Amino acid sequence: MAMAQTAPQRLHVIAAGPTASLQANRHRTGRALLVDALMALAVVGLSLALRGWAADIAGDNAFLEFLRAQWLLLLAGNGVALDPLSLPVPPLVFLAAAALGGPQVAEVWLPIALNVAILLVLTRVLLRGYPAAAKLLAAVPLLATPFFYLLLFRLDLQLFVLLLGLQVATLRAFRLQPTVARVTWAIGLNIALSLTSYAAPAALGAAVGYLLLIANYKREVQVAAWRALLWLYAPFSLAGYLVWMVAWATAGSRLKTSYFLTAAPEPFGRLTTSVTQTLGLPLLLLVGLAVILVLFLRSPDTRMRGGRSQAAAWVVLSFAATGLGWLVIQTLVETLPSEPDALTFAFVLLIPAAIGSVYGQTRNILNTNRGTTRLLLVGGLAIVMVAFSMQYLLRPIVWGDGLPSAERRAAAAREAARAFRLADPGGRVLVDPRFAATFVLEGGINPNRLLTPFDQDFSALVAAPPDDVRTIVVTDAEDDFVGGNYPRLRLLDVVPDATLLAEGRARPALVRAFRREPPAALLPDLERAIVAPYAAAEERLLAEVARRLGPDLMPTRMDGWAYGIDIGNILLYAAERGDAGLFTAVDRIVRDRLLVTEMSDGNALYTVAWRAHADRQVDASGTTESLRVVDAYVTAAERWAAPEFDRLARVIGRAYVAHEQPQQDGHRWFIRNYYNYGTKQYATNTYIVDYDPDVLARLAQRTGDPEIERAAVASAELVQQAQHASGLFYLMYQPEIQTIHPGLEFFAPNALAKTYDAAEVALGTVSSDRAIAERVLEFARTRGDVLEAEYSLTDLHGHGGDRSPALFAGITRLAVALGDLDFARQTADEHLASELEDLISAPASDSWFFNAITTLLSLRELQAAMAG
Amino acid sequence: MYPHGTRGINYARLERLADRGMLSLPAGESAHTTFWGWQLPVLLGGLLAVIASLFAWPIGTLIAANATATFLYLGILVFRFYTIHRAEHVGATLIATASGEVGALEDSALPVYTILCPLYREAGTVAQFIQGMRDLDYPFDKLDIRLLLETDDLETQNAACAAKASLGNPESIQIVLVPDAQPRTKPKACNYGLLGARGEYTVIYDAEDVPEPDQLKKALVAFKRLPSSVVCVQAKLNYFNSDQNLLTRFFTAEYSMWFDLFLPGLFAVGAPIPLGGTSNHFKTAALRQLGAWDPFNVAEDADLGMRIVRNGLDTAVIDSTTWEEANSRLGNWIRQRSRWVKGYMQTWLVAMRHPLRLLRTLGLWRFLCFQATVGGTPFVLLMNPVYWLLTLLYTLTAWGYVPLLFPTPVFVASLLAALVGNLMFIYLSMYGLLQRQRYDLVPLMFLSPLYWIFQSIAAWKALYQLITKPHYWEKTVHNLGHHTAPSLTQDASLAAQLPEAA
Repeated sequence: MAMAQTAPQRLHVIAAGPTASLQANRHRTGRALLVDALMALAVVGLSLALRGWAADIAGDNAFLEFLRAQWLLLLAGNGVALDPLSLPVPPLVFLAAAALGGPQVAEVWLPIALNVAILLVLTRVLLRGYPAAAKLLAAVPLLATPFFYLLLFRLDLQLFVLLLGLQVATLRAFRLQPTVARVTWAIGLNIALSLTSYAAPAALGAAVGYLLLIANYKREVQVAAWRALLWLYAPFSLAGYLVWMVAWATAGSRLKTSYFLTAAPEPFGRLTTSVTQTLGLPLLLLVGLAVILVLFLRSPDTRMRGGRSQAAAWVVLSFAATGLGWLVIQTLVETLPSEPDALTFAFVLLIPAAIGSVYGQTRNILNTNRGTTRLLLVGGLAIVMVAFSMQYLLRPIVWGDGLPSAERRAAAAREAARAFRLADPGGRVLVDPRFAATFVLEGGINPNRLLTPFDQDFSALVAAPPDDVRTIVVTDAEDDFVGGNYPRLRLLDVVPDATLLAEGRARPALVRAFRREPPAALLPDLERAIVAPYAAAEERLLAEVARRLGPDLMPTRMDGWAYGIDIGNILLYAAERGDAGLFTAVDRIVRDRLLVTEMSDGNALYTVAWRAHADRQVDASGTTESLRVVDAYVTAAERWAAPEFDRLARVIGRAYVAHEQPQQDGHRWFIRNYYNYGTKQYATNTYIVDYDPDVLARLAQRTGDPEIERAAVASAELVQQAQHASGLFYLMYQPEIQTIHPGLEFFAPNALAKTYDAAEVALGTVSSDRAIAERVLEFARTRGDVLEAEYSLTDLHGHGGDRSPALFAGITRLAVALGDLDFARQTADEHLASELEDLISAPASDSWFFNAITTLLSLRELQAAMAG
Repeated sequence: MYPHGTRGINYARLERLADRGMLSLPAGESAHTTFWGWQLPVLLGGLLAVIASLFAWPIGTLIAANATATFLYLGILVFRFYTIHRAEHVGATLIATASGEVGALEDSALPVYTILCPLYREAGTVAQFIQGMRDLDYPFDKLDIRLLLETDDLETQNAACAAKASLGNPESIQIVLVPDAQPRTKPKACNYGLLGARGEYTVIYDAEDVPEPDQLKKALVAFKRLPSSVVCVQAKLNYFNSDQNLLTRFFTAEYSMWFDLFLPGLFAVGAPIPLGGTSNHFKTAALRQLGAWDPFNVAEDADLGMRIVRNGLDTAVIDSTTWEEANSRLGNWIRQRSRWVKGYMQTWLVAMRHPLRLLRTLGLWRFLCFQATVGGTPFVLLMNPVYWLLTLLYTLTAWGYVPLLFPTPVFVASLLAALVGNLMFIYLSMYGLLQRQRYDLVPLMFLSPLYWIFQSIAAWKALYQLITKPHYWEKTVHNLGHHTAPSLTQDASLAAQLPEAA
């Protein structure tokens, strides 16, 4: 067979004469090189020109961030730290390029060089021996597809495409001459491919399927030899995975989670979407190819010299079928990590290869005399060409629309880095570089300054940073797993010792750099107490509170939950009283039980839960509770001149502000009542007790935070709007209610207003809008001893209800705040001191702690006011 | 006294040699003394030092021992892979003699070729061996076939005489009775046979061997083409009964890798080549000058190969195969393998009696190659079970002491040796079979680790025997499968396995 094929070729050479043939060959080679060089130049030019466009879509992605982090780790002498699902080839290629030419080379020029390599694989390897027209026909769609330029930002996908092209070439070489040496090269490429992407099994499956197909056709091959070679090819191609798996199993990783671990299994819908949208037209292309190839199989006249008939096109078909099958399996078992992107992007190279291959074949077959065959071939080719062209017109995804945009975290990191450059305090930087590589690079931070999770005992470093640590970088985003990486990282434990230096936000991501200062000791006079007339009552009640709280200081209610409002009140009381011991203990409870530091949910981060349970997860944030805790920390900062509490209050205040619903669609600005940690949804309404303009204003004034200041102003405006003419308040605001009752903004269920709520809200407006507070106090003062717990907003008749100690404690506090000490003392005397024993002896109830601690607050504030 | 055909022998010299077990080598080059001069004290001293160190610094000593063993092991693996890789690129340097070159040899110009065939209790194979020799593409009258028989083996003597008589008692066949003196080893018989050899060239075949017909001519062509320093060419060996059972299949795979990949690789990198048991073609004069075989070395072939190198001479490999009978029974196989491994140990000990002299003679590269080949083969086989047991122990018990023995660099090296090494050996077994076009055996190679276990058992037995019975010759029983050695010219299926035929 081989002789029969080569004989005409030899005759041709002899007829042309050796010199003429040599010259013709040289001419052809020179022309081919020139064409390749021109196309390579085109790749470089287009890649540079379109890089900016591609960066908007795919730049700064998680994988690039991962590579940058590896580079930083290397520079810092920490070595490479791959995570379990990352494969070593792309990072090692990146690091090698960075080591040789710097990160700019690795990020810019290496991808461009690889794109040139992809083109050359297409024209010089896959279509080797094909006419120049076929190569051009293949190169044009390659250069025209935007996917080609998106590859510039995904080194792993780019290497996958490149190696896949070489792997396909080895199949052809293998097919032409199945020797051990060739199969060894093919295995080597497969191992490289498998250490590049988890999509390699699809490519390997396709290759094996293709080789089996060829072997079973029994054409021009020794079946026994083929099958024996496949025993080498298939298992040893997977050796890379085996080695990698064993290496991880035995050596392990310094990381517990992965960049590449998806939060949830690939939904089946994504597969169907891929097939119908992303892969729809490529599949149509493949149908066209299949038509052509079947015709080739049926036609005995169409085999080309050298046995290269239809090889590339068959490989593409085989790859497409196996790839789709692989994705289906992956979707069904919900565990395999192959990225559909790798398979999709592979078509960037494979389809042009198939087009070139088919064209190279059809040119010959079109010269046959069979009319039907010729017609079908033209039709098939038309489908291929038209489908390929149409996808650019019909499918926005091809132009980048609908592709996942670049990581926002990197944008946030850049913003923070710009600010950090101006305020870099020097010293070492405690940072998680997996997620802040861009920050470090853009911030011009020497990697040797870094303390990272890859340092020994990082948890201990976080808990007690060395004195030379001056900056702490915290990042988060919804899709990060850093919290899972180091559960309860407790970075917040050190945040109170830090000042916010720089911040970048690009929702849902944020990057914050804190300047850490030497821990300030609590003032020595913490035990200072103000002696006041109501001290005895306070001490008596405080002893009972302490008894009921027990050693864990948790104000647990009947349902087993400890409520944030109670804990916040105790914290505030401890701050006002100046009881450092109590404050420190409750502060620990707030941080451990209420403050959300889990970084996996950006919305939940630093919010205060509305309640906590010993055995259950917190379920939602509490805005009133947040305000109370902020009030406590600001008070503590003032009392002990400890700015770290201001900073913690600011962090929580920011999280409170994050509950805001901006003014839009005719609805006013408001703070949504809670954020549900489980459903990750905000409430759609707000309660009047969710506002404390004075606390926010104090915080804004102390920290200079414009966001908080803006919220303070908006809060005051809302509270003012929510006040009824009587001085009481509507209880809530819910935009949806306006669809039922147009014009109704604030309302109270059953038109009943709560007097205590009015006192509490008024207490928060004393500074920002004193008139509001005055109206409430006036309402109480005019009713004196007969003050009711609830009033109808329609006729202002009292509706009784529980005239709890908290009610009078609230009025007392308001009176103190407004300077009406007489009324305050009168209220305290008549309703608090006299009923103290009843309160102390009252059985446990849901409201006991609330009543008791509010009473303590009122007694404390009254004493403080009296003491001047 | 002696049967017909044992003429031309200097009996006085024979008597003297027989007293020394046919040893014509200086004592310093023979394995007659297992441990030479300083070797035993140094080995025992080293052993005692290690034991003492174990008591003083148990973990440190174990780590040091493990690290040494691991890196040696890894080095040997790397050497193996490198040589085989080189073999892939040295197709041209392998002495592949073109059929035209062989055909151009004129019978009248061919030299006398001595064929030594030691036989012991192999009466049934004599006739077929002689037939095999008659099938050789070489003028029969220019052959000097010397059947080396033991004096107490009357049955084989009778069979040999009958076979010779049936051919009209040709001059080409000589029946040589080996004097009954210790050691009763194959090399002693060969030495005795060599004394009266007439041929310019000499080759050894076992009784059941079936060399390719043109092998002698190929060897001649190789000798002519190669430098005069090449005094020996080794033909490839393989088995005609490879399909008899699982053991013979593995044995075939091993031989395919050894003779088709590793030995050509050694040739390519200029390393000393340990000769195979048969089909070694020598320039007779050079062989005599070298002192021929050491009768006290149970792997006399490997020893001779090393001695060739130590004397500044060379060995080459020719692209011709001799088909042998693979050992098909496990006990028999382990006896044979333990003898080979013991012989390698003896060879190493003999060569290392003067390490510096050896280094000067061989040069650093060949010295290292010698260590990796002759020393490395028993070493790897002995160490394998140690690491298997450690792995098993840790897997089953998670015993905390095991990881202590593997600091990171040692661990990485061990992991490489275990993972890449095992995979590569399986791969190379397959590779050798593919070269041999034994496609049917390729999938079986995934079970190679089973075979490695028996190799290691044989190695430990060899070590034991080196100490207790260093010169004991574990005789291999042939014709176990009752296979009759086929004639290449008659057996089409065997002929089809030959690369040339394909």
